[in-house]
Amino acid sequence: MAKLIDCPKGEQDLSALYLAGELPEAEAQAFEKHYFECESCWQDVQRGSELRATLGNSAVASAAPHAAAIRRARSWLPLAAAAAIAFVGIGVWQLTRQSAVESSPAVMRSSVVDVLALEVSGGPQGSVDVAWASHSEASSYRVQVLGSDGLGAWKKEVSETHLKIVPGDVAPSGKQMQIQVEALDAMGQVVATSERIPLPRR
Amino acid sequence: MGSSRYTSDQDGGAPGAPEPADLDGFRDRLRLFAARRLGDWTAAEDVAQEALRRALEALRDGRIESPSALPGFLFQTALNICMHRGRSAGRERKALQRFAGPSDEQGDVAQNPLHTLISSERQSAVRQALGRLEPDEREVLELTYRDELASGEIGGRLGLTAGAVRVRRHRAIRRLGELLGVTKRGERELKE
Repeated sequence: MAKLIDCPKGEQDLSALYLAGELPEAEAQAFEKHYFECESCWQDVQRGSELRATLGNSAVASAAPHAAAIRRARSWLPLAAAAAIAFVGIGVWQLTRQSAVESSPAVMRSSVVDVLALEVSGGPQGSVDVAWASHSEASSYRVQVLGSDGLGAWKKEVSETHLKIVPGDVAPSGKQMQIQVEALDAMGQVVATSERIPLPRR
Repeated sequence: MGSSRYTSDQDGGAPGAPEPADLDGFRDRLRLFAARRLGDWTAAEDVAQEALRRALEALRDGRIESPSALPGFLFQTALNICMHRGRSAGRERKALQRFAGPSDEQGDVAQNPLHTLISSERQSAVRQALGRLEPDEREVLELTYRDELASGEIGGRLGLTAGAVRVRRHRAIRRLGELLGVTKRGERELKE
């Protein structure tokens, strides 16, 4: 397989972004995997974490779902409050116009969802192994394969935190496809979602 | 094919089975890895300890055949332990919330346990080493790690290109490592 990115030596923004918690989760995990193998990048991460701690920041920004959810909730709070007021206002206005109002699941869905760590690797005979972190509020997980246009090409709901996709499951399209996992609570609401990760080509 | 966008430049490492002593260099990596995921320094220490214990067991059983397989084994083991702990912690948190009612989340964040990841002695050594850097080197490190600015933004302030900022930062980090008595593998050989 051709390398997508070689060792990011010199691209020091990567370790700084990683430590500041600014890399998307999938990128952060890929970089972690890399620095376990690469002494040079690990040295950059180590010096960076020491510098952050010395200069008044936490050595590494937490990606723990609880902390991340609080960070997001804080940043979304004013917007969420405004949205709630607008939502109530629109609802009252619509009720005066018509007797029956259908509630939209998209509107009911919470805008604060956690990030789900996702690991995708090629298995034997063209299969793909997918594993993800469990979420404390999840009753099930929806695994979706998306085409290059972002439309769903295949999906499956499971209760485990891993899945093997065999060649017969997804028809080969010749184009790069992506995989995404969503954690669903007992009401079917999305409580966490992963980044979209490219599906290994078979 | 792996899932990583990043690939190792150390593929096909040295021949022969890895030694238990090879595990030593991974302890801090495991701690930082787990600390980021769990947001808790004590829990991260436990994860590192458990991952090293499992790796030692695997080495003794001959399940890790080459040195190049060791980092991947440790990464995956630590990831699995973190996932398991995350699951347990979620259940625990829910149970605590049921008994104690809503927690003071702002307080939790203010007392961020990751602030203790680097010891005060080490921070003091880093502060001293920073003081011995050239002013332009120190400035670029402060703008990156204190102010969390990207290379482009730093370049805008200092009248440099983003590339020049990266080069300056790379040089500063290398120099800082030398002052702290930590030189990168390979650089020490070049100096000798």
